[in-house]
Amino acid sequence: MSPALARFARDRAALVAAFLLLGLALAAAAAPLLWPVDPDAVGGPPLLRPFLDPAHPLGTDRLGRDVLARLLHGARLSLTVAVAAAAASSVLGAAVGLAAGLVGGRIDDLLMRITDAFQTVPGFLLALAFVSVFGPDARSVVLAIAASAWTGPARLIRAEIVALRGRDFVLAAIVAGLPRRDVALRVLLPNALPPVVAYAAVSVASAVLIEAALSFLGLADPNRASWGAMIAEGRAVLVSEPWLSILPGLALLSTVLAVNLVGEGLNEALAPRRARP
Amino acid sequence: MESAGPSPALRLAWRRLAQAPFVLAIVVVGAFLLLEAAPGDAVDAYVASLGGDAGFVHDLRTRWGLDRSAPTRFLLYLAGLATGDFGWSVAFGRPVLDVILERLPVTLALAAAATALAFALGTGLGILAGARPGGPLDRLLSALALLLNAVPSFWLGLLLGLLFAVRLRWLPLAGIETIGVHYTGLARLLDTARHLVLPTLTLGLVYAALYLRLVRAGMVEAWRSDFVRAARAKGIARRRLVLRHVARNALLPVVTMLGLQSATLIGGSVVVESVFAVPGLGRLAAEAVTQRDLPLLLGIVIVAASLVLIVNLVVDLLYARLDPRVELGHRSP
Amino acid sequence: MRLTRRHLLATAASPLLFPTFPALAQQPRRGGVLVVAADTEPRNLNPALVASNGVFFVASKVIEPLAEMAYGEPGLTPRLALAFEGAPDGRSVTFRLRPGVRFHDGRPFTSADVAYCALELWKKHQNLGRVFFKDLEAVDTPDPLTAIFRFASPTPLQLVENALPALTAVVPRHLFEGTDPLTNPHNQKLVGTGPFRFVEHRPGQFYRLERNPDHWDAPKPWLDGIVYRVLPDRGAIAAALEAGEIQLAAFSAVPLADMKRLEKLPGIAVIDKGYEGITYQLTVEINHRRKELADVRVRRAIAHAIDPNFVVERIFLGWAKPATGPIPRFDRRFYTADVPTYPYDPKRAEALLDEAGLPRGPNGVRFSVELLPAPWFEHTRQMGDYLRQALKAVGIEAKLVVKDPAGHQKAVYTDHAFDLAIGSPVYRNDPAISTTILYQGGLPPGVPFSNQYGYADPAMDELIARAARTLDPAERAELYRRFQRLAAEQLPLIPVVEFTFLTVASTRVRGVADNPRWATSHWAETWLEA
Repeated sequence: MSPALARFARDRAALVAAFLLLGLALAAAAAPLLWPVDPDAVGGPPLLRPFLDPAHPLGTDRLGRDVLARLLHGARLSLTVAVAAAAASSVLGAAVGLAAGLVGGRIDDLLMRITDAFQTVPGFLLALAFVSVFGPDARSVVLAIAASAWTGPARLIRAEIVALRGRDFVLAAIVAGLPRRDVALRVLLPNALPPVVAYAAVSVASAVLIEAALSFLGLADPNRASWGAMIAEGRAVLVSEPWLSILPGLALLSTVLAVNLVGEGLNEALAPRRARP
Repeated sequence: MESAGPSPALRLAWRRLAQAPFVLAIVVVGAFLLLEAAPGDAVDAYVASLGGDAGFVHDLRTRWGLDRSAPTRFLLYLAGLATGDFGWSVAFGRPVLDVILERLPVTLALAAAATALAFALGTGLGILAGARPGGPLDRLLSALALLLNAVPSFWLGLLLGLLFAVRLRWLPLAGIETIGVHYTGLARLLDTARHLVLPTLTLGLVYAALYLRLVRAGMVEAWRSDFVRAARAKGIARRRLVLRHVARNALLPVVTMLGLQSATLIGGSVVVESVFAVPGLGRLAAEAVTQRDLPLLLGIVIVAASLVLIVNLVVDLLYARLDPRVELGHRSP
Repeated sequence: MRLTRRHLLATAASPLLFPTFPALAQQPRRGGVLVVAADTEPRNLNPALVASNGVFFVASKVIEPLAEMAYGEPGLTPRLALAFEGAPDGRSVTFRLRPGVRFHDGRPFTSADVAYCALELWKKHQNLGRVFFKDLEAVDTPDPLTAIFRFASPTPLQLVENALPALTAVVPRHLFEGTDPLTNPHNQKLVGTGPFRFVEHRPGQFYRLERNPDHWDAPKPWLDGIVYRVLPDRGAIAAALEAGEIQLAAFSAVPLADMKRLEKLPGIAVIDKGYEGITYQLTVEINHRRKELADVRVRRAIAHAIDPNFVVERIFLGWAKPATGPIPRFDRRFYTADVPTYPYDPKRAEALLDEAGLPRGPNGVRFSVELLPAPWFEHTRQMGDYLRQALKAVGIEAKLVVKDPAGHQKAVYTDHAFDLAIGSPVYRNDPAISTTILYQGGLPPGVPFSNQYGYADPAMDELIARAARTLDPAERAELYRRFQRLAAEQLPLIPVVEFTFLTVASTRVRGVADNPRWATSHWAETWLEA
């Protein structure tokens, strides 16, 4: 076992959260097998409360759609969008950060000003504008979140590169005559990466929340069940049928909690605090 | 660092100020391009609500200057901006600046209240938790913070509204003042404050959790420092130690975070404003996008970005004041 | 044709129309401010320029039309016009105006105001008036209380009469003449002759109107004022109503699903009257440029695949009726049930699709379409969710594409980038005002809420044109019955259900829904119980 993995395994909360998340991902992936009900089928009795009818264990919504099926399929959307968005923002951010840190000079300045500009605009506002303009399908939601979240990893990796540049082993590689590109990709990048990976885990959590908030504001892909949209639909009957909003909210809450715990565990494992005195 | 010349933190602040115009320029160009790429323009948005014949649509497009090319419109906009003219909002039929200035105070009040709540609650509880890391109170508060950190704010808002406004009727559910009653002076202030309680809680609690965790983490680290160890060895009372030394060091990252979170806070207020029907800048921005009201959106983006820049500048200066030794920008070894 | 007689008739008939308010005989009480929910804030609030229900909802209390709709046979009550008469050749209509009426700024209302509005505002700028008044050549004003409208071509009096409530709001000439009407500040700060005066609009918060003590219909209005509280969220509106923060929500501003619960609460009434004059339909709009959809058998198959009862029961919770054609049942002058119908029958739908040469493929799919539900109402979006499922059952795969209003407008009515769309056209008291345009061929792209479907049929066009210039009311009505039969036969678009809105109000609010477009009328007779 690598030391990082060992450190992670020692963090009990993170471990439990990791299993929970794994379970959720499996349930989402196997939704059609686990609970073979069409989440969009409008056949059932409308507004059935949970735990009353074994055919609809978690009840139905206004159009008679099965809430359990919608929750499971919502998990699919939520997780895929969040992971894709986190990956996209990490890759984009890493590319920008790497370029800025390596090239330096004017390019660095320009890239950092663009980063500043993006950080100055409220990220959620940017995502909202982007999705309203390009339509609420999963792809534009991923791009929107990535567009508003790439600045974190970019700054992080640039700072790492700048710090690493002066370190002995990097200087040694340069002195040894390693080509610039190899120094960048084989020496600097691998060493600058761990904090970005830990950061990516945290950004999955925020992506889950952004996707949900966008869906809640009506920017959900209408072809797929989504937790945020379920809460928004439930909101119309919040007073009489509160569980329609509460259930997807709980699903969101536990997912984000689990992702956060795993992210923290990863953070500790990959980028342990400075050597303790 | 030598004591001669301004501190590095102060220099950083000035550098940021000098860079602000470039940053703003990038923001403006970006926002313009985004709305230019949108399908449908302000006229489409307008006639979508009431119909009209072909001539009507054509006349409107000419009247609103939308028949001109995108670069021309952008140059005209910039020329206006240079003279302090933010342009005309077609969605509201009024000058952009008027529309924004009407909504800005509301968002500022909400953001300030939420920040104050988050700061007070977050640092207060953070100090309590960090006073005895690992103790029962710490475990409880840390768990609570974890949970709050993961709550979707719009969902929290809905539940708070359901509980306190609909079920218990302690607080109003929506808006920022009681309509139809004309309060003045203090009564009006109190009325608005009552309306802002739920939005403030919704927006502030999430950040309170963040600050709690930050302060606690800082304190845990401080307990391990040589200085505090030595002080403990000398037998200085724990309570005094906590307040005088440990907590104080732990507050610095919170100040940094206040600046970093200012943009996120405005973003978060979009959601909260929509949950509680608060007539603020966030909701206005969402409207500007749906109405394809380019000058309005650009105006909002400029104002929001300027606010964020100002807050960050203040934070930098504050930081320089609090701890002139700290060199910003290179916090990782 | 005199309005005064009609007015008497309408008043006599009205008590029958208030099932929810048995104590109508009770004497109205003066006083009280009515707080109502508003979910939109129109940028231009001037009904002389913008004829839309969102504008009327606020502005009709301040600015009045020449006549208003009424329940019962006569159909109209006088407002600013007392009577009107058409010339036999259909080329002129003479209006006798109400004497002694003053605008809120104290200046008298005269025929010059009507002439100015008709020629400079309704005809030139108003979204509906631009089409309707395009043949209006002149308005003669022989004296301050007579206005004679002169048309270039014969215009049916029936059509003019039907257009009065929505298209003829009068604003003062002296505030508009010589200015650019579209940027005139009085498009926001309204000045009219109505029972209420405009006080202020605080964007994002409220509109405030106060009683006009000098109204021509004194002692009305009964209310001291009306406040429109801006509450964009429907859930919040229901809660505010329950908490007593507002007393009335019109236009189904409360989610239908919540209506059932509210109905049971003491002190709250749900009223389904007062919108018949602005009946909406839920329609499936069809792009005939798509070759599968150009086949009438396929369109009929789609109609057979839809269960209107499901739509009525689940989407509208019972507050709607299946539609048989483009004209709603309420308008008995034109409506006919004698048309081909397409009852819910998935088997029949499948048979028709097979017949059209579109068999199910190996994956069970016959063909795929993009379906664009309009973003205007929650019903249009839910209808999208339902139609996707209904089409799936007969082997048509629909992908939902949701756009915001500007994007939807452009995709459907300008770029024709859709296969199916869900629309919600409104019927405005006469088929010629906003209904036949959905069937008329040869319109340029970019005209909102018109036939942008690529459908053009000479027989249909001829019928529409003939009805628009037929002067005899009975003959005209018969032409529109033929129009309905042809529309149902060719089915260029599918009207699924017709619906009106609901008003939810505190039971203290009286004098509600006393005409077929009550929510968009004057509210002079509305009052608050102590």
